[in-house]
Amino acid sequence: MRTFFALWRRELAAMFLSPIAYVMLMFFLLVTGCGFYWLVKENLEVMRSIQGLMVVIWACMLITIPVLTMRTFAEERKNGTFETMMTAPVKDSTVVTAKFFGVLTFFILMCLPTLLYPLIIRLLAPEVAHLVDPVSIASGYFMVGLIAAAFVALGMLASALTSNQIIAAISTFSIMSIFFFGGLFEPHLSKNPMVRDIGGYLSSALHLMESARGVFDSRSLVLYLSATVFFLFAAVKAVEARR
Amino acid sequence: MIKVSNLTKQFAGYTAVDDVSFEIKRGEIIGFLGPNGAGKTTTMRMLTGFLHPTRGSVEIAGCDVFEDPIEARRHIGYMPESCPLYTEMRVDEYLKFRAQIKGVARKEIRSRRDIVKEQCGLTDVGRRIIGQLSKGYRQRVGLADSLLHDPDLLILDEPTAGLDPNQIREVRELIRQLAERHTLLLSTHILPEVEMTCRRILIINKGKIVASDSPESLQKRLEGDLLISTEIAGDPGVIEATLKSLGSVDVVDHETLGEGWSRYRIDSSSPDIRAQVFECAVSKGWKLRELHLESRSLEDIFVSIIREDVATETKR
Repeated sequence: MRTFFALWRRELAAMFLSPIAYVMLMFFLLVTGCGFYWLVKENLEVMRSIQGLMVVIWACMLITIPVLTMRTFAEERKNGTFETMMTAPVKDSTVVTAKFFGVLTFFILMCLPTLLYPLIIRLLAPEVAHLVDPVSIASGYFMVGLIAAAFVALGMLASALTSNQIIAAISTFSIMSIFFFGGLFEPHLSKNPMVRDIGGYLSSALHLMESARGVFDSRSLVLYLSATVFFLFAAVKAVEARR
Repeated sequence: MIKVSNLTKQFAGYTAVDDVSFEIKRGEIIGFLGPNGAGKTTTMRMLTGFLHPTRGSVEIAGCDVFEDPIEARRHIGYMPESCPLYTEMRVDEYLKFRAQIKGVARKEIRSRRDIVKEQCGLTDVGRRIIGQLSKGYRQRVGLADSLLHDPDLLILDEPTAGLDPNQIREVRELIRQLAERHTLLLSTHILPEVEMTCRRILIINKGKIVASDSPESLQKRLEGDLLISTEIAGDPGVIEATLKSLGSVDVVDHETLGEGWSRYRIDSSSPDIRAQVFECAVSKGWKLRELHLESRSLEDIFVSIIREDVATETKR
């Protein structure tokens, strides 16, 4: 457990020591901030529940998660520190999970400032405050965390498979797109209702919208938790196999 | 301490390490030699459990490296070839982090860190960022890292590669100090390094161990043929012919030095004929100003062993 915390802390520290993390942080806050401004200015109705904000965060994830995860293993492999790491008395699975929680922690920290937006609405627009209720905020953010967990695990798998960070980022981005746009293009996907159902079931946007309305669907919980576990398991195997 | 049996590693298309077996006892200092691409690094990576072998097993201090990797790694301090470090961390931070993941007890981390910093001459650079340190200092950080958990066995892959002569001397001195307390396996292709520090040499070529002995007995192996060097004044043609007739002399070649002097190199397959050369010079009335047995350096040994190996290979 001590090893885990040491690795986790080092991963988180490495995030804050790299310029990429700050660029991502700025990008994320800029886009969500502008998105919020636009939502409020154009049509407060979208802020009915916090669906609008969730959609903006959802779009940012598609860029931030591949970039944040790409370095986890690819960089260590390229610099050779992978060798010192893997010859220390630590289990492969400890390394993978510690890195996973390191990146996830960073992502969660990145999301925290966006909690200000619903707060601003509650304080400054009392007439619609009842629309931004704590339950939908909690369930919306919980879903953001779940989705992030699954994709951070996916990004680490991609990073473990290559020593090139760009390849890792782009493959993560591509696979994430399936989940992201699966539901969005649902009507155009296919005439076959089964394919459309699968597209809808995989769609992160729909899951987020639902949960941001305060309706929490256990099917998405199962989907993202099992995806997280699967990708982490595959990442451990990838680390083992690359020896 | 180390027991390697039938270790083989195949990569796609070629065999990097081919059925290697050897044993290293506690307290030994082993030099691991071989030309580039002979399989040194691959072997060391398997010893540390970083690479998995195609066949064979490695036992470190009684633990199988591949079945009980965590326990085995506790006994190993390993410094990889290019000495990779987290360049964005400070020296102290890095050593603390490494001590934590190596399972050094919480209370001892600080003291262990201070000890290894002292040992490796890092006391003044604790606050410096690793990326800003010179190559020599980084090498020391790598070495300090490998010593943190006070391992029984140190495996150093080319610890002096890329250092300037001064730094090489420092690192070598450090290694010699470490040798007093640890079992040491170090790879290098710088031969004087081995000659100065190691008590046994393993030579690997094309993935096979071709020699395993002390430097002295390896030298003896070659003493079958002696190389005698002498400087005599006189007609080179006559002298050369006379020297050749001394018996058990294979080749004589000479080099003119001026003022009538020439240097002769005599390759003879035992016994030592220096006395005969002297007597011969006295009886013929030659002037002789130098006569000595050239000792074979480790370099000669290395070259001839690798050559022997290549020769037997081609014969097959």
